[in-house]
Amino acid sequence: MAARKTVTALLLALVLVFGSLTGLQAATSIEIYVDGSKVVSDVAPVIENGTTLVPLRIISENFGARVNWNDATSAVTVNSAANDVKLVVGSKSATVNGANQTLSIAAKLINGRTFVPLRFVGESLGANVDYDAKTNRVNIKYFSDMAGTITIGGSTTIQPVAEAVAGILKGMNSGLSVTVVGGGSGNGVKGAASGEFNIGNASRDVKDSEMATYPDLISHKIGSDAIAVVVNPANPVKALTRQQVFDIFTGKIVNWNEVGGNNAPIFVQTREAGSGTLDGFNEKAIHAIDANGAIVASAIAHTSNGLVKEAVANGANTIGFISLAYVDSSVKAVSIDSIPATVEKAQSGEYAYVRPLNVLTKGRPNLLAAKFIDFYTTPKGIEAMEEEGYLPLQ
Amino acid sequence: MDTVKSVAAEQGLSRSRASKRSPIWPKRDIFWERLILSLTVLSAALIILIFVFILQEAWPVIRANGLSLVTTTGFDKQVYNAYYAPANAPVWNFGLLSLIAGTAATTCGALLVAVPAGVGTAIIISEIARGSLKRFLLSIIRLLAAIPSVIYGLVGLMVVVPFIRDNLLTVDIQIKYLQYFQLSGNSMLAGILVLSFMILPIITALSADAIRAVPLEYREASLALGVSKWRTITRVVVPAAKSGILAGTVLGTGRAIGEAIALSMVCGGNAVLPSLTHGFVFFLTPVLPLASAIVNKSEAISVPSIEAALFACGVVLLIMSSFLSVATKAVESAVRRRQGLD
Repeated sequence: MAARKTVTALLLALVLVFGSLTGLQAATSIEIYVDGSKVVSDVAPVIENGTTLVPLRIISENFGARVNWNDATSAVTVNSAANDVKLVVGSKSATVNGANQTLSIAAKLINGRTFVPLRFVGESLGANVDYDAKTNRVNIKYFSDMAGTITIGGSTTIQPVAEAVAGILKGMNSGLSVTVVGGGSGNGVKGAASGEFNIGNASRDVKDSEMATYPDLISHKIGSDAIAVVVNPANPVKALTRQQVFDIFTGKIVNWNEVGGNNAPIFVQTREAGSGTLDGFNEKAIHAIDANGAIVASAIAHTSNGLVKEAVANGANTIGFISLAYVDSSVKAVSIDSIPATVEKAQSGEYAYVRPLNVLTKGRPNLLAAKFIDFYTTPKGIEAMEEEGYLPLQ
Repeated sequence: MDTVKSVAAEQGLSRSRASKRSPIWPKRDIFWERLILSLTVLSAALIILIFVFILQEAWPVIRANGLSLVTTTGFDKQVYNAYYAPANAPVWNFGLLSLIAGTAATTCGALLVAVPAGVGTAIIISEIARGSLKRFLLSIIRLLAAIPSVIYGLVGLMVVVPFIRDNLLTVDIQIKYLQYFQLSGNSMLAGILVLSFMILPIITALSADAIRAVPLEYREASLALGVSKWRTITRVVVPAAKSGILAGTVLGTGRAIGEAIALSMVCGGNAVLPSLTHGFVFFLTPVLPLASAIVNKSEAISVPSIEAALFACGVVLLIMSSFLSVATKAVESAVRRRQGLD
C-alpha cells in the first residue's frame, strides 16, 4: 500500500516536472478583445510564462500603427502617431520612445511570423490593457478610451473624411468632442504650427519654405486623392487629353468647339492660392507639361471644392477641377487620355492626377490627437476613407 | 468764496466744484458724469488702437509700395506670385487700384439707386400712407434692415445673377470679352443691385423718421400759404429733414463699403479694373471689392506679405469710411452755412 502510494506520487511528480520543462506553450483558449470587438487572427496568440504574444499584424491592424521588420537586425519597430517602440527578436531589452526598458519575455519568431508581447507593446502605445482571469480574456481599450476635445482644420478635401472619422470615434466615446473646420490646406499648415488646430489637414505635401518657417511640424500621410476635371452635365464633351486640359486651363483654347463641344466660351474655374487641390492640379496638370505654365488670369477663383462644384453645376460652359470625392451627379468628370476618373484607376496609378493627403501636428501629438490620426489607418478608418471616395494608403 | 465753500461743506457737496465760476453739483452726479466720460474716452481709445494695430500690420506693404499701392492694378496675380514665392525672396508688390475701383463702383452705384428710391419710399410712408398701412410699411422696412447680409447674397446668387446672365448677355459678347474676363452674370451690376436692396431699408427707415420729425407747423404754414401738397413735401418738408436723410445715407454707405460676404458671392471675385471703353459691358464686368478681397484671399494668409497686403486693404477701407464721415460733416456744415444756420 505504501509502495503504491509512493510510486503514484513519483509518477505524478515526474509528469509535472516534464510538463513544466516543456514550457507553458499551451494551445491557448485566450481571447483578445480590442475596443469591444474580438480580434480574429489567422495564427493564434501564444502564451509563454503568463505573457501573451501576438502576431505583429494584430498590432498594426488594431492600433493603426506602422510596423516594420528588419531582416538583417531582427528588429521590430512599431510607430504610432505618438509613440515609437523597438524590439529585437530574442532580446529582452526594448526601447520605448528612446528610453530602454526590460521585458519579461522577448519577441520571437514562430513559423516565420513575428510575435510580440501584447501587454508591453499595447501599454507602450498608450492603450489600456486588462486581463480578466475568470473569462481568460484580454480587454484592450485604445480608440474607446478617448476623452477631451480635438480641434481639426485645414483642407476642405480632407474635411469630409475627418468628419466621418470624428463621427465614428464620438460614437465610441461619450466624453469626446471633435471640431472639424475647413479653411484650406494653407490654413491647415499654419493652424497646426501655431497650435490653433490639434491636427491640421493638408491635401498636399508641406512645402520646403513652410518646413523652414515651422521646423517642428510633423506630417503623417493618411492616403491620397485624385483630382477630377469636371464640366457641366449638359456639356457634350466627355473626354480630354492632358494637353487639352493644359491648353484650356492656361487660356490657349477658349472655345468649346475646339475640343468637340458647342460654339461657346470656356469659363475656367479655379481655386484661390492656399488650396491644396490647386497645388496638386498645378503640379500634375500644368507644370508637368510646362514648368512655367500658369492658369489663365480670367479664371474665377473659389475658396473651396464645394463652391467650384456648384459653379460648374450651375454654369453651362464652365470647367473646373475638384477632389474626386466631391464628384456627384451634379457634375460630369471627363476622362483624361481615355482613363476615366474612378477610384480604381487612381489606385492603379493609371489616372494622371493623384495627390497625397496629410495630417499635420506640432511635434509629436498628444495621445488623444494621436489616436485620431492612428484611426485613419485601421480597417474601419480605411473603410470611411473609401466610402468618401478617397484612396487609403497601400 | 468762503461763504460758498462753507455752504458747500454744510451740504456735503464736493468742495472742488465750489467756486465762483461753476455751479455746485452733488457728488453723485459728478461721479456719473466722470464715469460716462471715462467710458467715452475708453471707446475712443479702442477705436484709435484698432486703427493703429491695423496700420502697424499693414506697414511693411505700405512702406514697400508707397503711393503705388493705390495706383497699380493686378492684385490677383500679385497674390498668386506672393504665395508661390520662395521663403528667401518674398514678394511685396501689391496694387489695390482695381479693388478700390470695385468698392467705389458698387457703393456709388448702389447709392444712386437706393437714395432716390429710399427717400421716395420714406415720403410715401410718412406723408401719403395712412394709419395701419403706414404702420405696416414701417415695420416691414425695419424688418428688412435687420436681415443678415448673407441672405441677400444668396438671393443675389439665385435670382439676380441668373437674370443678368440670361437676359443681358449673349454668347457672342461672352466670347468677345473672354480675353479680358468672364462674363457669367457675376458682375458689378449684380453687386450694385444686391447692395441697393441691402441699404434701401436703412435709408428708408431713417429718412422716414426724419420726415416724421419735421414739425407739423412747417406743413401747416406751407399749406396755408397756398402751396400744393407735393410742393410742400419737396420744397419744405424734405429739406427740413435733410440732416436725418443724410444720416441714413451715411449709415447705408458705411454698410455698403464694408459688405464682404454678399458681394463675394455675386461680384465675380476677379480684381478687374472696369473700363468705360467697353461701353455697356462696363456694368457687366466682374469686380472684386476691398472687403470681398479680404474674405476671398484669406486662405493665403499664411504668407506674411499677403497677410500685410490684406491688412492694407483694411487700412484703405478704414480711410474710406473715415473720409466719408468727415466729408458728411463738411457737406452738412456747408449746407447749413448757406441756409443761414437754419
